[in-house]
Amino acid sequence: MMGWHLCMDPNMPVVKVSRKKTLITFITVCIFFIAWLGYAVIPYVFSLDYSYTRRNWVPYTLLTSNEVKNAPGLDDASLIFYDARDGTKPSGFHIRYAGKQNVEVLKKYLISLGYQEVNDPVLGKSWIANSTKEAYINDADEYTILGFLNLK
Amino acid sequence: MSKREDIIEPEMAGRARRGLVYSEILGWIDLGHAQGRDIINLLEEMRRGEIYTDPYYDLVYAQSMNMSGFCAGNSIRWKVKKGRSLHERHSIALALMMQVSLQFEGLQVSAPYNWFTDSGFSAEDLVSNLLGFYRVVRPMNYFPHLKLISKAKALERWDYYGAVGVYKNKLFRPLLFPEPTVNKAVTPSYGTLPSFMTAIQPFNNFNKGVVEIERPSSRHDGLAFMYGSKYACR
Repeated sequence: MMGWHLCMDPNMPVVKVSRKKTLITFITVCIFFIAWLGYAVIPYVFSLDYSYTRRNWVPYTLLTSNEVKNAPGLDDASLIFYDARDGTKPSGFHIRYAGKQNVEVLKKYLISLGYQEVNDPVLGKSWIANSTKEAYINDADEYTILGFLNLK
Repeated sequence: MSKREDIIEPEMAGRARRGLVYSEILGWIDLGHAQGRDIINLLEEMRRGEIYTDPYYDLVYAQSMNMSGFCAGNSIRWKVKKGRSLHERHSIALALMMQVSLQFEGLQVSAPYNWFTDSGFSAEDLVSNLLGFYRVVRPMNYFPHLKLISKAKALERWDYYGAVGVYKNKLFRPLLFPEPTVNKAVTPSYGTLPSFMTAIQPFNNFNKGVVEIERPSSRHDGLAFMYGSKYACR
């Protein structure tokens, strides 16, 4: 028995230290990950407006609506603006394409999402879904803008 | 919270849902604030109230700011006697908007909200809200009458005076930023609203039983930090 103990004892602490190290490493990685996530996300969370492109992983992956992500013609050169609700200003996403887009394609996309075309008395033509969401296309400038607003 | 890169060409102003332009009549105009969406919703609420069977209907008006799950704002609730003419409805809507705008901007300018935004009582906010009101109740293209300057000129004004959020305007009056001249010091000064933006007076006759204040707007009314918990953040 004594020989058995002498044989096993040197190995036991090695196993315990290894598990402890693994646990400490895991916790450290978690803390760093949470800290990084906080560092990367907080500037967007506590901002009333910001702009970015598809290359900005945090706002694009975590904070962008699928309507925007799936918009026709969206590429790395397109600029995405987000406005939080601020008093009378509704919240929403606005895509500013790098150049002109085919407006008919954008219209078909909005209709496929369930939007219906209406004539806004103040702002002209727009698309409404469920009385809670509005989309619009602005093609008057050198670049096309596709926007999605939350009306509630 | 307006930024330099929000400045757009004046030709775009009529259809834009966001952006910043400078008017020689109204000063800076935030086109996001000047959409009048709040007024459209409020007038629709009044239209529905007028066809209910009850002699009175409730009106709730709110303004809030949302930041990814955090919400804070102000709301107000009035009980309105049925039978209001369109002009009276506009007058009531204007009074609601003006009261809540002042409370909400006051909220934004206080801690902790002013740590994140300089939007509270920003020079362009109140006057932009007022323009949004008139765009809905008296629909027409106001921009040709507002003497908008080109984007290049507007950028010059911004660069000379600095961010518009630095200048606080607690009145529904234009805060004008005169064109910088070489030999003369210029400073922002208050202008006068054009006559087409003073045609409607805010409702203030609370003694005739037409409007009863059910819940006045105050610093803490409608203040909420989570989705859906109070009127302002519904």
